[in-house]
Amino acid sequence: MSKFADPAGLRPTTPRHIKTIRSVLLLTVLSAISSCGNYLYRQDVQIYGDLIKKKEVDCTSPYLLTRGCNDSELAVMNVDLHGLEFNAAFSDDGAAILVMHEMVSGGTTVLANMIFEGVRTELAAQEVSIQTVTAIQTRYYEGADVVVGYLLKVNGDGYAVLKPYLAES
Amino acid sequence: MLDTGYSRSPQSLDASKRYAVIRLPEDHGDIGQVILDEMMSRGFIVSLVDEAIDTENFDVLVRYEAVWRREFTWYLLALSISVYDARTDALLVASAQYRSFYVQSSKERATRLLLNEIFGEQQQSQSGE
Repeated sequence: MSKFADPAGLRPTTPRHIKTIRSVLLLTVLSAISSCGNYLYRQDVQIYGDLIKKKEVDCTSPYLLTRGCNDSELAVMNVDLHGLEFNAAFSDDGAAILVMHEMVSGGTTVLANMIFEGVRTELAAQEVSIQTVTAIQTRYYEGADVVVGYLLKVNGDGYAVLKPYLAES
Repeated sequence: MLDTGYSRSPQSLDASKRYAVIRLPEDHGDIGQVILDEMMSRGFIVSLVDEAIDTENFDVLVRYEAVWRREFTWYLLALSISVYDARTDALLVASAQYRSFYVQSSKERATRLLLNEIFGEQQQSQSGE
């Protein structure tokens, strides 16, 4: 009699290690199916200000952005701020600033926040302060909501502050 | 792999300053403790504190952000470390690292690499490692 037969010897039983392998394979397949296109993310990040969806932002709303803006890409002026590269657009008086960047795997909100902090610091150094902040949110292709940039309303000429860091076109 | 850096005033950072690592309210990977351990091993005078604490006793504040993705277990996708002047709240130096799911990095390794960029590798050699 096979050593894998049941005690009564009525029908053969499946060896324990085969059962374990089957269970692991089943769990693997189920996990792969359930996570396909819908990964779980955990973002231990801060989001500044209120949220607005990217599709609700264009060159006329919520602010009229006349410098470095087009409706398909939004901010198009290239900025290099102490090594931090991003895109910006401005209102005519420089009091409204849009800063954005391209999405990067996993780090989109982290990068947007670094840009916000860099711009905030540069504005403060010129005694320009931020009055309102709005985070521009979109959905990453893997399903996570991410921040791709910030809209800032400031009490001075933000364009003049960032102008030394604009890349020459 | 993509990395981003910002360096406005790195010369103001040295081991004579008093550093505070500001702990995130929700710190999934206990990154604050990893940064604290790594900075202490480099000879910095550093404390791990909550955001609400009075920062008058510190010269430099260290903040961080992290993004994780779960695939059987949690993987670190992105980490940024930013260093601020405690008096003016100006961002002095920052560094971020992004990894795709397929090129994962441990939180200890990512922290070490970012601190190398921020403080320079010579600080690490001073600690005798």
